[in-house]
Amino acid sequence: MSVLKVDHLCVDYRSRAGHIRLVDDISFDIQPNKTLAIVGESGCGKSMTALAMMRLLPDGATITKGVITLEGDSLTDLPEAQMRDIRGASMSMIFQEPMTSLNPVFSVGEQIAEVLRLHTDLDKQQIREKVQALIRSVGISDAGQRSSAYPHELSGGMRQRIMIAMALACSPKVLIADEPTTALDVTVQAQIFSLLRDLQARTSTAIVLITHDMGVVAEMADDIIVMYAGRLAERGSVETVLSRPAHPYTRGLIDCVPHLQLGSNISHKSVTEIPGVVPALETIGAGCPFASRCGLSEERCEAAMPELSEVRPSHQVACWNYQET
Amino acid sequence: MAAVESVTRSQSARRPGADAWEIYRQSPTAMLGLVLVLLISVLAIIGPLVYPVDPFEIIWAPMSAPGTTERALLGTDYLGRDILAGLLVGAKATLIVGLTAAALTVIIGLVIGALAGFYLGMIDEILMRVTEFFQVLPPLLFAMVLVTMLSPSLWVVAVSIGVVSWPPTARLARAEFLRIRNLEYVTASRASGVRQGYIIWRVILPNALPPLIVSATLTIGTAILFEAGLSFLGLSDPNVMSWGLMIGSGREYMLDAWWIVTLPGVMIFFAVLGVSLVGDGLNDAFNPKLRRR
Repeated sequence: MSVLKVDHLCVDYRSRAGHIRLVDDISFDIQPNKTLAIVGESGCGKSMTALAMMRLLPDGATITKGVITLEGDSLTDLPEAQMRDIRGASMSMIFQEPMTSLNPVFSVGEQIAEVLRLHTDLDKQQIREKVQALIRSVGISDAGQRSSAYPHELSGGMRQRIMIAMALACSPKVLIADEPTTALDVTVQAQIFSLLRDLQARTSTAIVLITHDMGVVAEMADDIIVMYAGRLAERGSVETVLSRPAHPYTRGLIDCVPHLQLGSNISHKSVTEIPGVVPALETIGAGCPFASRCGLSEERCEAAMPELSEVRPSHQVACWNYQET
Repeated sequence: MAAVESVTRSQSARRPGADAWEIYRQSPTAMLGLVLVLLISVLAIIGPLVYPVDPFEIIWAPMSAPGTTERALLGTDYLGRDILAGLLVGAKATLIVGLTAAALTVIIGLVIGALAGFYLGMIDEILMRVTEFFQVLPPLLFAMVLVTMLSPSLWVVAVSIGVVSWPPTARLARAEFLRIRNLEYVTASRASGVRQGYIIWRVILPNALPPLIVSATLTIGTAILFEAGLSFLGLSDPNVMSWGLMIGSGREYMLDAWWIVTLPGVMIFFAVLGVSLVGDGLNDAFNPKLRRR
């Protein structure tokens, strides 16, 4: 039974200049206790997908098609007041920049307490205890002192831990993590991920992990969807997609990860780039948006967008020329 | 000992405002401004108690120079009223007008600017057109019209000054709200499910406050000058002693008795200087990066 289901989601952006489709027909679902990674380059629509799930799209962007269901209830047509009760309670989100995603004028304890005040009936004393417990649960010692600290007094890793404590305060069913470690040091990144794994094991929260880092995907995720220019390129379990990628774009992304080989001859050939840049969304025609950068591109790629087709059970790809590997 | 001190400091000096006070304290001009403001406030509050002379009572020969009589240390005006008593009682009126007008400016400006900057769209469009309407009216003239239409009491003067000076504050508040509403911590707190009112007043407002506090402080100075200007033109409450009224009523005797206009003028100068220095000091304290070196 999937806890969150996204069905043919489309997000459009309307401005005076025109009308752009940011997210085009994305579908996926996620089980409790599982981690789904959404992967793609900057601007591929992965963050927009996340914000659409929270119904927090920026001005001008709207969900134009598709349904998002959380435990069977549709979120897409929920009134804003009810959506507010869901945010932070059944579904919460952590952001890329821990340095800027906490309110600078309130202590971190106060900010965690606010979430509890909103979504629970705990009294003052219980809230204070719960805040301390939450801060301890994200691996911060001296919770009493830290809870009265202001964000600028904490390091980036510490703030991201606080964000996680805040997001998990009400034991959400789904946690959306939008590049939670991009702004952090590699060592801190590893700590944050192991923390997320521990917490997931305890709470069986489903995690939607948005990233562009294939290394992170291999480490954290159970399933993966690869997005390109707002569309689904490939979808499947992490083992299959990483070991036997079918879409040329997925293969390119995997080849982009540098392999550190310890030993005398460190090879520089192991990193390959994908030529070209992501096309501007308003210039995409009827064909496959990746065609202009693809080594396998042929006439029909320019002419029509390929449908998702089954490579093997629970592994789908949108490519005319996918190669079985 | 040092350890004990650092512990207590880390407890008390934690609030973001504590850093601002540290920076403020180190600026001599800002501290001078604070001293001036405090001195004038003390004068206004306890002056009339220590020196209980009615500023409207004729106590001595008219136009006695300061130091010529013990009955009136700072001399008398053209009717023989005590200038020192006038200065002490007038301080209160000046402060009341300055503070009320500044408070009103901030309240009107903040509400309009906040709503416009947060909701944008149609609300922004309407509120900003209203703001522009008030902004293009010449403020002194507009205040004069208001005061003449209503009775020229102290409160009417204060409210009129507030009503003509809010547009710049509204624009400042709107700009701050526009900047902050798209910052990540606002999105993050929306993601935790808080209400819109909470976002406006508890998330965005405290972060927008520093420049607004600075502008409010400077508005006090402008309001004091405004009050003086209106009184000089004879448009203030003739039954409430204020520095502006003293200058206004003494202006015809300026060449014969310099002290009648000069002494209240000096008081206005120091009052405005004081609040302006405080405003500047606050500005530096809130924006240490912008401070001139």
